[in-house]
Amino acid sequence: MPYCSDTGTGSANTWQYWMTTTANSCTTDVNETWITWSTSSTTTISTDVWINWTSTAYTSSAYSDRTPKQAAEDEQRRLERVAREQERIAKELAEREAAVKRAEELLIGALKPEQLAEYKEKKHFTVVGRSGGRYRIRHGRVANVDVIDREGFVIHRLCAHPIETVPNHDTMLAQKLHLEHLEEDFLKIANRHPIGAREQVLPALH
Amino acid sequence: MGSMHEIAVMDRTGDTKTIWDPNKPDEIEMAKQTFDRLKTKGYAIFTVGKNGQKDEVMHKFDPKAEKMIAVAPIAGG
Repeated sequence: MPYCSDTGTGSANTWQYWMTTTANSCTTDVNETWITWSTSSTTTISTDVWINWTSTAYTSSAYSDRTPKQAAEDEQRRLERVAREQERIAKELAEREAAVKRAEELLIGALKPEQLAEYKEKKHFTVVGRSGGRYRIRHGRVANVDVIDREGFVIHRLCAHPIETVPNHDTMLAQKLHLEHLEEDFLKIANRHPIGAREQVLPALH
Repeated sequence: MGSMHEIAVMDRTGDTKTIWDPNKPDEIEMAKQTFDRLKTKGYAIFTVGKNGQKDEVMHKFDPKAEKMIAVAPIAGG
């Protein structure tokens, strides 16, 4: 018989109970679970689906013979699981927001005055490499560096970023520092992406 | 205590800073070890002046550099 190890939340009991008691009423139980899931969870984020599923699936008829004490304990455990999950999600979101804020502060502190003014107004900034080549770094991580010709038109896009997962503002700063100081290396590493419509984004150089 | 100098290492938290007092040899040594370890891992390290001026690539640790930014190796995407 299949066995599911108990994680301390009663999952083994649930599985064993389901395997041994619901074979004759499987259609009903599965339908209830599916109806509950599909009507209450599909429009929410995946974490909510999990919370909702774990908080409603135990209420099937298989548990109708629980004593009030058992039901209260199950409910308490369910509430604790939901609280833990919500706490984890809130912590992750807070950490992500803090990371974005730190990265933007680092970027702003390293921009030249004209780059900072451009970034504040348009959320992108222009970088000039040692070769004189001009690049526009837009917010993002993938194919967010526009290569600009002497006429001021974007001719293609470049994609290169730190191998470590960092907030987008960190990626933009890494691209700026490389293009200003290690331009040749950056151009060798970066992949080129074609553009759609031809667009002039800077004045011509002559 | 003099002004504190720092290496900001980009990571998923935004950055993690190593700070040292340029008048304290033990702190300088710890910062140098951090610098060398990052270089060994292939990080590019840049000094950054105020308002983005006078920035340059660092090949050797300079305890007088006020602010450095370390970037993990880059890859094409």
